[in-house]
Amino acid sequence: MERIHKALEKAREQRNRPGNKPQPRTGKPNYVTAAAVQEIKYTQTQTVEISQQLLKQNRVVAHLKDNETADLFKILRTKVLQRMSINGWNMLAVTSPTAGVGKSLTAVNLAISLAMEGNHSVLLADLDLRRPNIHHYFGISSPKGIVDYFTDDVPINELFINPSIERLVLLPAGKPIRQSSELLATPKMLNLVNELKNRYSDRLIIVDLPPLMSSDDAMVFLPYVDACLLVVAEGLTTNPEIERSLQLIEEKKYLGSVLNKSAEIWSPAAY
Amino acid sequence: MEEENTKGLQDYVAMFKRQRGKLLLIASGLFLLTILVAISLPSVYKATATILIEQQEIPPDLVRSTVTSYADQRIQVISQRVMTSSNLKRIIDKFGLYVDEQKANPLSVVLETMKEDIQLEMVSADVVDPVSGRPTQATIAFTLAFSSKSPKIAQEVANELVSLYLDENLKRRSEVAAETTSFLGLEAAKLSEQIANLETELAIFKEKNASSLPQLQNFNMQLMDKTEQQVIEVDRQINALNERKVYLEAELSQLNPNTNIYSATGERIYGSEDRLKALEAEFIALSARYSGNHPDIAKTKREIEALRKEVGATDNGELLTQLTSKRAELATLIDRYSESHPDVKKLRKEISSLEAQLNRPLSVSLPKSTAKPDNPAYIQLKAQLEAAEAELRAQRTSKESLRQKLGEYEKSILQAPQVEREYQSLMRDYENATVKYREVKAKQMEADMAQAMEKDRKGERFSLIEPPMFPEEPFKPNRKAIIFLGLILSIGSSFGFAVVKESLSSAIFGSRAVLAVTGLAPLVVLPYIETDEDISKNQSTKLKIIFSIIGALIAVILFFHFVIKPLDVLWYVVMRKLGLG
Repeated sequence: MERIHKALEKAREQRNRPGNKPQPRTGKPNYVTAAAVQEIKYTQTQTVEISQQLLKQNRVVAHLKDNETADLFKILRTKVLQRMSINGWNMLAVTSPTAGVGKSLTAVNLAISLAMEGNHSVLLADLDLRRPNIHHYFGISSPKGIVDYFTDDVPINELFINPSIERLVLLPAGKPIRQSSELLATPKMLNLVNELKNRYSDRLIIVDLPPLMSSDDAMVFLPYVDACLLVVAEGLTTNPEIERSLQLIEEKKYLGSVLNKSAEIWSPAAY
Repeated sequence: MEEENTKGLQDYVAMFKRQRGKLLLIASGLFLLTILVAISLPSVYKATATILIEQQEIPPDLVRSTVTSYADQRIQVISQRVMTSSNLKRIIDKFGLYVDEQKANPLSVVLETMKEDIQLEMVSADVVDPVSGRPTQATIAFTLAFSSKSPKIAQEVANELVSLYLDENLKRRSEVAAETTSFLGLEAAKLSEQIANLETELAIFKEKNASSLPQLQNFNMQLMDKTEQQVIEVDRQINALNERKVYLEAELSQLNPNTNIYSATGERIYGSEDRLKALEAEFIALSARYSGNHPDIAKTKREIEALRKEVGATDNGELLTQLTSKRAELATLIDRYSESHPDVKKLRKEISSLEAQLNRPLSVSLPKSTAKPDNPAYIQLKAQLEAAEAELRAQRTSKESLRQKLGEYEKSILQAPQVEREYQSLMRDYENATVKYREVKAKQMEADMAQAMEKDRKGERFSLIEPPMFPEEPFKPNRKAIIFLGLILSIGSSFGFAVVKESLSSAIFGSRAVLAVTGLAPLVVLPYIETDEDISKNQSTKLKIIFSIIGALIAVILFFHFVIKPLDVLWYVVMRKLGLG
């Protein structure tokens, strides 16, 4: 706790220091430039107005002020950013051993938190093609998505959605399909990934993958990503599941884990 | 991996948070159960009596009790005697105890139960042993208690038991005292009989060995000495008498029994013997001078023969002399004459007749002398001799008897050691028996006194210093303790349940578990994100639960009040059971 407190304190100090204020976007960390961020002003992206109330109802809290959980996501955001910037990564997969641990919600909240940080634009891609649900959190009903890009050759630009949160772009999955792993293994997919990764160098891509245990989708897609975040749930995920998941993730791509639904007192609000 | 085993306080707090629903449910359930158990356990009342063991009033130095066992030992013995099946059964029947138990169990089991309900405890005090001077424990009192579900019965049965104990103690003590007395009496009688036997034996022995008794030893010796001296005396007298006799005989032999007769001429007339001797001498002289046919010789011969007849003493010596002379004569004749010479023949005849005469056995001894002695001196001497001989005979007889006596004394003295040994052994037996008898007799008197003491209740006794009181409060169960223990137990067991459950499930709990598995702590630990809806939903659920519990409680209470027992009564009962009323 002590260490965490210190870290938090330090982070807050940095944030409050006039020179480090994210708003003027001066003193950018590493590869991100203010100009580049300004450039992606959603010219082609459709914007959807999303009610704050709805987000809150769907447990999306990362954008809220004075929220303990949002603070926790800020910690997670910082840690993720640090690790990714050291390695020069920009594509992070969020997965879990099994379904129901809160993987998608964590991905959404992390993406929002990263976007709120202000130095990056964030793309949140829903690659859980069997049970796509990212759009549910934003209250968007049955949007077109990646599946449509593959099947109907819908241009990828038309698929992006901006959920009225600055620097955040969603890439929905589309209609649920069964042959998801085959689709993910296609060269077209590889092309798409390469394009997404390289089009905007300052963009962070968060990919919501299916659970590792339930299908081979995650295994198929993991080679494309730079890093992987494992979400586990207290009292739900078992030790063997975590062990097997870790075996499936390449060691150097393993960014870390998030313990969800925990009763443990880990709140910076105590501070 | 070590970290997995060490759980901090926060881990337990987190665990409590996770499992709180179940924890509360288990804890409250168990707690309710213990409350129910505590209240439903039947009250047991215990009535206790304290009985003091009082020392005997008369100092033991004066009258020693014959009951010498230790008090606690005696109490145990009495216990065994009181707690017989028949006694207990009588009490059970008298007070109507264990009605339900008797229906369900055999009598032996019920009696065991009763024995468990009867509690006997010794009360000891630290005292200093008056004999050894060391500190020791002495039983000074004991408590007797009976437990029952009814306070009244507890008191009554305790009373009954106390009286049984007290009675049994008295009975036991007087029994022991009486037994001791009677035993000693029997022993004394036996010994007295033995003494009588020994006395008889001794008397017989004394009678049998009257002369050899050790105490007569000296006397016997003296007697023997005396007798020996007497023997010597008698011997001396005998000697003297012999001497006298010899002297008298010599004297006598010099005296002619007959007085010398003198003829008128003053010539002494010889007696027959003297004349015979004179004649025989004359005859020899004549035969030398004359032949046998000479009338002198013939006359002399006839005279000799007549005298011989008178004197009676046929003297063989004379015949032999004749025979010898005849043979000599014959030898001279044979030299001169032939055998057929008449002289020779005659001589031969004479010799053979002489030989025949000699060979003839001595014919009837003729009275020596028919003539009475008439010499006064002779007669006097003779009388003296006879007197001496008579005395000698008497002395010899007395010596003989003295010798006999001496032999007897010797025998007695010789026998004395043997007799003494037997006598001593008899005496020893007798003395032993007497000493023993005296001892036993003394003891018997003491025992008599002790018995009298017991009879007068002056000995050690049990006195009831605290009779069993009516127990107002049950001594068992301790409901408060049970409820308190139940509280701790229910909380502990619910926690235990949670710990076991979490350790049995392989699901991860807490960041440490993640650290243990992945080798890295989680980047962040997120709580379950609650929406307002969730919160309000939880609240309404809680409210619902609370209301339903209250409702159920009210329903139960109402049910209890109207169907089982009115609440005010129940309240009273509960308060009383908790010891608060």
